[in-house]
Amino acid sequence: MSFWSLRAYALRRSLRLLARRPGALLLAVLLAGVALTLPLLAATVAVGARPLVAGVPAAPELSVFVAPGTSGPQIRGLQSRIEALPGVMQVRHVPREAALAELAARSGLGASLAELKSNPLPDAFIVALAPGVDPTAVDAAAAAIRKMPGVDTVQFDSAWYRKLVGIARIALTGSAIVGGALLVLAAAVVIGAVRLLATASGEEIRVLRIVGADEGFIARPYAYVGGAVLASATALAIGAVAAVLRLLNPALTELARLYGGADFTIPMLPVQVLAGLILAGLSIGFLLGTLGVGRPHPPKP
Amino acid sequence: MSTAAPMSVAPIESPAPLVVFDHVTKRYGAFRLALAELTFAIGRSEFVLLCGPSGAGKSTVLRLVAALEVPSSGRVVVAGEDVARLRPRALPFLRRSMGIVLQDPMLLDDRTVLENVMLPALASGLPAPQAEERARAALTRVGLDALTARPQELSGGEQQRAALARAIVNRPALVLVDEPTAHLDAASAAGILQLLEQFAVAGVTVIVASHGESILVPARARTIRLDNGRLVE
Repeated sequence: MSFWSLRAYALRRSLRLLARRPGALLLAVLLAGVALTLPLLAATVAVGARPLVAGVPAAPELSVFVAPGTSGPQIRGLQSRIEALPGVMQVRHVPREAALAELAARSGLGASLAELKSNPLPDAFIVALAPGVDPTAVDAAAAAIRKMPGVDTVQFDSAWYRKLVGIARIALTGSAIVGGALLVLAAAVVIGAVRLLATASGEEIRVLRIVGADEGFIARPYAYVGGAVLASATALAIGAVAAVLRLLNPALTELARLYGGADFTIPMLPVQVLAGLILAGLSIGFLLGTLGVGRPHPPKP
Repeated sequence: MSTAAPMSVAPIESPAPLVVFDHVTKRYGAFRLALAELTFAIGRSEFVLLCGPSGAGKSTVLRLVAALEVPSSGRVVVAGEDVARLRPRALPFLRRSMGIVLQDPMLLDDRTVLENVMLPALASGLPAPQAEERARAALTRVGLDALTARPQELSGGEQQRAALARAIVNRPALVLVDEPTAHLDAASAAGILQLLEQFAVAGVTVIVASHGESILVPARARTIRLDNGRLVE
């Protein structure tokens, strides 16, 4: 009984606190909501664009051309040795016949190629390394493959991969810093709003401590306010992202059509995820609200 | 949580002295000496009048008993517990076992008198209906019927009565009152002191701090005189 009566009291107090400074709290919701919008939009775009980027090889691939005259068993042995190299995820053998057929199909030179007396193309391997592997590891794998008997040429655009990895690292680090800073800003806004309320209610808090209220009893209404502010800010950010996507998606669809692709739109995150985000906002806001009230300084001797 | 039994505070009904000051010295900063080597004991259901001029250390004594301050040296023992050694989590339990009325009644202006008086009961974890029942009983005891008034609508004497009602709503064994008659007319002051004496008769230990020489000392009161933080024989 006491458990619920304490929380019912805290809920009534938190509603009074919300009513006491509605302007300041609405401003806090707005600020925290704006701060949360960008990371949420980035996450939504990242998840929504996944099908689009699925066709782009994220892992570096080496093209290994086998020396002419290499026998079938030698080719199979070579494949085994390449597969045994560290960092190699997959080795796909492209037989010379298949390579010629693909060239004929893609180039439109099928008739001319058919007149050739022999197939000029070698057997080849497409060697996929682990996604995001360090460029020096790719160079090391290429060098090791070059030394293997039966290998004619190894092709890999090392400079391009280095640039790609560099750009990806900068983008990831930048996103993490900006996203983290915005999340910290949202947290600071909630703590600041609650601290403002607690400072304005300093007399009440002093009285509560004198009459024997424990810190949980004192902090709970403020924790509820913190939870309400961050949950509302999260809901606001979700609404803002939905509005941005509503504006963005027609242009994206049109762009995809111009590039000959199918209709493409970035969908909102699933409802369950959005509900989870609001619940997370409520819980984290509760903790931030508790932090915002602060603890009494122990008296000095 | 709030309703759990006191963790390290002994029952306040202990037969030992309820309050013990054992060579207590209290300094504020490096130079201001508020109390010097103060030693005394207060038993159960005693009515103790702490008197002395302004700056004698009366309020400091009350604040030390309420664990709002800790001594610079010596021990303040309440209900068998050295209050300076109590863990912060145990302090609320100690304070719930006493009623505290400081010089400023500290009534909250945004609540009615009834809501102010209910506060300690709610903080102790009582459901609102029971807290209200207790608050009404406490207000009846102090003779205040302006339940729905705001504190700023009350006279000084009524505010003191409301603060007293709040102090006794948890049925404490110890009541600390600082300058209860400071800003009251003679009739109101007499009424408040009579009320405090009734508490003592009912078995509550009452410690009243007052600088007024004209205060009507109840017959059963024991007087402890202070001057410059020292006991005056």
